[in-house]
Amino acid sequence: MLAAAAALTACGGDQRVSSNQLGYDTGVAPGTEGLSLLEGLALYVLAPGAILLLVAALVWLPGVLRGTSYRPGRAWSAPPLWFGGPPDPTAAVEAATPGSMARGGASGSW
Amino acid sequence: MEAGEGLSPRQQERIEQAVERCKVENGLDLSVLVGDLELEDLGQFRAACERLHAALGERSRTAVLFVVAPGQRRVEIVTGPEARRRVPDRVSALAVLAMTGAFREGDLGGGIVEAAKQIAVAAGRRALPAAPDKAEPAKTEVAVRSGH
Repeated sequence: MLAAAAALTACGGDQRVSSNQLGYDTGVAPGTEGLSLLEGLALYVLAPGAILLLVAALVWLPGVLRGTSYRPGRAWSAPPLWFGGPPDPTAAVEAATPGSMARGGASGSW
Repeated sequence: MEAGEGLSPRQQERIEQAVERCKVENGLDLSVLVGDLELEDLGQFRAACERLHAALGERSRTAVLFVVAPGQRRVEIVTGPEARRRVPDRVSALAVLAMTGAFREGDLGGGIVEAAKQIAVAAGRRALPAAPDKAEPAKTEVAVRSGH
């Protein structure tokens, strides 16, 4: 945004404020000298580019912060994580005997 | 696979909070396992999940277990017999739907947190049945009745 603001003032209108309240003196063609190449680039390339980048960042950042790194169909190599699980999961699973307990639940795939 | 895959610290934090909230606010013993299971055949997935549920030991009667296998694209909810009264299979099925919907969009953390919320709402608010002093009378009552 700073770059955009700087670019706009660089091409800006401060020079001609002295004319009068309505604009330019009669008979004076505004901006007869035109834009230099640098000013043109700044106004038509840098400024829109900066605004585009800002919008892109606003769209992109929330997803990155939330960390949606998973894409369906890709392999998953991260080691298993057990939230609220037994203190020693490996030993517990080794020793586990499902028995005849009537368990409920549901399954799904995606 | 490049480094940095897996659950982000932020996602892990959110899942931990959801598990904790279930315990504190609803007295529901929820645990969530995220990772692929070592299986030769995906048909054994349910059996493997029941084994994991059994690994919770004494807790398993009242415990609800989510197993999320992102690589295998399978999700399973296992409820113990006591937990099943508070979280019927119909509710589990809805929670699974919430998860698969979110997972399809690549949102692992969000799906798990949403499913935990649904299960917590269904279970209602109740103190954790963690007290051995509370569990003891129930047991002795059964013993007395069986003596008659």
